[in-house]
Amino acid sequence: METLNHHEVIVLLLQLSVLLIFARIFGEISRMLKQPAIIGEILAGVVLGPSVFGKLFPDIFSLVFKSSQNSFFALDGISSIGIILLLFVAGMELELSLIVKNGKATSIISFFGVLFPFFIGFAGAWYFYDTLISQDMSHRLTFSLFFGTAISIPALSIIAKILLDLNLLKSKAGSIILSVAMVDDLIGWILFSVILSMMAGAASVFDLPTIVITVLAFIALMLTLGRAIIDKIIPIIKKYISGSSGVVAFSIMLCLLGSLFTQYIGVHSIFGAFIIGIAVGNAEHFTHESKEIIHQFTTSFFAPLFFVMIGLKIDFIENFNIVLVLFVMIFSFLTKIMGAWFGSFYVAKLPKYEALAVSFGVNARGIMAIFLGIIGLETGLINQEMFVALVLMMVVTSFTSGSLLSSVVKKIRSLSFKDLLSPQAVFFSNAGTKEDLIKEMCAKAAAMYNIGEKDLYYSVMQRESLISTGLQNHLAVPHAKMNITSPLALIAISKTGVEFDSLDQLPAKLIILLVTPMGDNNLQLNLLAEIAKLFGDSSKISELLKIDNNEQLTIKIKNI
Amino acid sequence: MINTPFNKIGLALTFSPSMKYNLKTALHLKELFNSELCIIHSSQNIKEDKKRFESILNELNVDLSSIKLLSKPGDPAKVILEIAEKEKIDLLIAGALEKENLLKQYIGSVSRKLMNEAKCSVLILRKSEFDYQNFKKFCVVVNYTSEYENALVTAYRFAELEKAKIFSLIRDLWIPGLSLTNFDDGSINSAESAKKELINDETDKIKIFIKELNIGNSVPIRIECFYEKNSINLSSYVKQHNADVLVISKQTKKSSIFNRLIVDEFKNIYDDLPSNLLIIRK
Repeated sequence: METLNHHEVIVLLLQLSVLLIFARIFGEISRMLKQPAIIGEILAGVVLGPSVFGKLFPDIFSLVFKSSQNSFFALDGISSIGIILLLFVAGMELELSLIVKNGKATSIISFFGVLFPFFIGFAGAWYFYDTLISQDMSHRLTFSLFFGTAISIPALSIIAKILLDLNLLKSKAGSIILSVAMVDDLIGWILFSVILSMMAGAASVFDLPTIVITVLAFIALMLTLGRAIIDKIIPIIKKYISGSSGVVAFSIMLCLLGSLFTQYIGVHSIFGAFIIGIAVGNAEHFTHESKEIIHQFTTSFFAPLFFVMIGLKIDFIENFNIVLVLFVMIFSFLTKIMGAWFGSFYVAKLPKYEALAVSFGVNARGIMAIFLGIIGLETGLINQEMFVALVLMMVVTSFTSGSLLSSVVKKIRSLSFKDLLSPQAVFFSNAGTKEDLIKEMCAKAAAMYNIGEKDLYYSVMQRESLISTGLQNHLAVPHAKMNITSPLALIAISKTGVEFDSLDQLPAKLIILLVTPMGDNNLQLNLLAEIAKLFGDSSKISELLKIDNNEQLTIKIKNI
Repeated sequence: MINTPFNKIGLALTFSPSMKYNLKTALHLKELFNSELCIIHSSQNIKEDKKRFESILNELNVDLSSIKLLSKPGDPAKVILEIAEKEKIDLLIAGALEKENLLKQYIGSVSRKLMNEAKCSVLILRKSEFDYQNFKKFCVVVNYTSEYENALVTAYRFAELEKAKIFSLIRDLWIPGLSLTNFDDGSINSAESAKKELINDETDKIKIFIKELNIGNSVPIRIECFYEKNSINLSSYVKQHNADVLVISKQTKKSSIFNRLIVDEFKNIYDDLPSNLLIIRK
C-alpha cells in the first residue's frame, strides 16, 4: 500500500494549517462586519489562491499548493468528508415538528416560494442557454433544471441569524419564515437529487427511473420508520456508553452509511448525509448536546477548510462575467421574493407586513447554493463563470436580506409596553385613596378606549382583593383582563403618594393600569414582566417623579 | 379558591401485583380530598370478583359502606371510560404497566387509552417497590394557557392538603432555529447569551404568573427552566429529584392512526413514566 512520504506529509500539514489559519481569520473579520463567516472563508481562499497570492508570489504558491500531487489528494479527501458532515449538520437543523406546527401557511408559501423561482429560473436558463452558457445544447435540460433549483434553495442558517439579530426568532412571522425555509430546503434537495440522477445516468449501474424511485423511497423511509428506529436505538446506546461519545459516533456512522448508499446508487454522497441528518436530528432522544458536539467540530475545522478550498480552486477575477452575474442576480431576487409574496399575502393571507417579512426573509441564499454549485462544477454541468456568479448571488442576497427585513421589523414585533404609551394616557392625580385612584383611572380608560367603566373597575378591584399589586419603590401595577382585542395602559402620577399596601410599605406614586385581552395570559405576563424589568431600578422611578409634564414623561419612559 | 380538588374518585382496578398499592393510594386520596370513591372493574365473573375484592378490602380494614363497587363485563378500557363518565368521576386512578413494548405502544394499552381518552383528570400510578407513600414532592409543568392555570391551582391545592415539601414548576423552552444561528461560524456566544436571557426572562414571567394565581403561600415553590424540546430534561429532572408525582395538563384526544403520527410533546413521559403522572383536565 502506498502512503504519503515524509515530504508529502509535511506539505499536507503545512497546507492544512495555512488554510485553516487564513480561513478562521477571514471568517472572524467577516463576522465582525456582521456577515456570515463563510463569505470571509471563501474570500480567504480567493486571497490564498490563484486569483491573488498565486499572481503575486507564483513561486511560493506552487511550492505550498502545487509541489505535491499526493498531498493535494489527501487534502481533497479531507474536504470531501467535510462536505458530507456539513450536509449532515444542515439536515439535523431541519425541524419537522416546526413544519407540522405551521403546517398550512408553510406549505402554501413554500409551494410558491420554491415553484415560482424554480419554473421562472428554469425557463430563463432554457431560453438564454445558448447565448449565456454554451453552444453545446446536450446539457440544456439538466442545466435549466439545475439553475431553477439553485436559485430556489434558501439559506437556513443565515435566515435564522438575521431573525435572531432582529429579535424575531420567537415571533410568529419568524417561525413561519423558518419553517418555510426548511421546507424549501427539503424540496430543493429532492429536486436536486433528481437532477443528479439524470446526470449520473450513464455512470451509474442503475437506470434513471430506478434511481429516482430508490431516492424517493429512501427519503420517505428515513423520515418515518428510520427516524423511529434511530429513536429506539439511541437510548440503548446511552445506557451502555456514558457521555455523548456513543451517540455522536453512532450518528456519524449512520451519516457515512447514508452517503455511501446514495453515492452507490448514483446520486451524490452528500444527499444521503443530508437525509440521515434530518432523521437523526428529529429523533427525540437525540439531545442537543450531541448535536452541539457534531456542530462544533464540523464548523470549526471542516467547514472553514472546505470553504477556503473553494476559493483556492477557482480564479474569481478571471471568471467574473458581468452579464452572467446580472442574469443570476435578477432571476434569483425577483423570482424568490415574488413567489413568496404571492404565496404568503394572496394565498396564505398573512398580514401585509408579515408577508413582506417572509418574502424578504427567505430571499437569503447561502451554503446550499454553494454546495449545489460545487457539485455542478465537479460534474461539469456548470463552468467556473457560472459558479462565481452563484457565489456572488449568495453574498448579495444574504447581505440584503437583513436590511430588507429590518425595514419591516417594527411592524411585526410583538407588542411591548412602550408601544402602548401615549401622552394622553399619562396624567397627574390628586386622589387620596387607592380606591379613588383606581376609579379615576378606570374612568379615563373607559372614556379613551370605549370599554365599560364599571366592569373594568370591578375586575381591577377583584384582582386587588387577591393580593395587592403594589410593588416596590413607589410603583404599583393594578391590572385586569377584559373582553378587548388589544391591550391598553394608563399611567397616573401621584405626587403625594397613595397607600397601596405595597411590599415595602411605601406609598405608590407611579401607578400603571394595564388592561389586556381575556384569555391571552402570555401577553399579560410579558407586559407585566417588561414593566417589572423597566422600573426595577429605584433611581429611575425617582427621576421620573421629578417631571411635571405628561409629554416629557412619556418620552422619558420610552427612552428607559 | 377550590377547597377540594376532586369530589369523586374512580379507581380502575385489576387483580395485579400492584393492586394493593393502588388501592391504598386511592383510599388515602379519598381521605385527603374528603371525596367519594368508586372502584371500577371490568370482569367476566362479577360475583366471584366482588367476593375477592371484599376480602382484600376487609384485610385492609376498610369500611365497605363508604366505597362503591362497579363492575361490568367487556373491554377493560371501554368499560372504565363508560362508567367513569356515567358516574361523573373527576379523578380516575389507574396503575401503569411497567414498561411497554413497541407493539403495545402502537395498539395502545389500557392505561394509555385512559390517559388519552378519559374526559376527567387521570392519575397513573407507577408500580412501586415500596409500600404506599404520600405525595411529598410535586413536579408541575408550566404553561400560560387557561387549562394550565386550572391545573396549577388544582395541583397546588392537592400539595397543600398533602402538606407537600416542595412544589417544583418546570418549563421547557425551545426556540426553533436558535442553534442554526451558529451553523456557519462555530461561534456560540450569541446563541448562548440569547438562551441565558431567555431563561432569565422566563423565570421572571413564571414568578409573576404564580403571583397572579395567588399560589405559593404554604408549600414552597421552586422554578426550573430548561432549554430543550420534547421534555427529555423534564423526565430526567423528575427522576433525579425523586418526585412523587408529575402534573401536566392535556386535553382529551381520541386515539386514531392520524394522532399517532403527530409526536406528542410528552411522548417520552408516557413511554417511560419517571414518577406517578397526574393529568389534569377541566
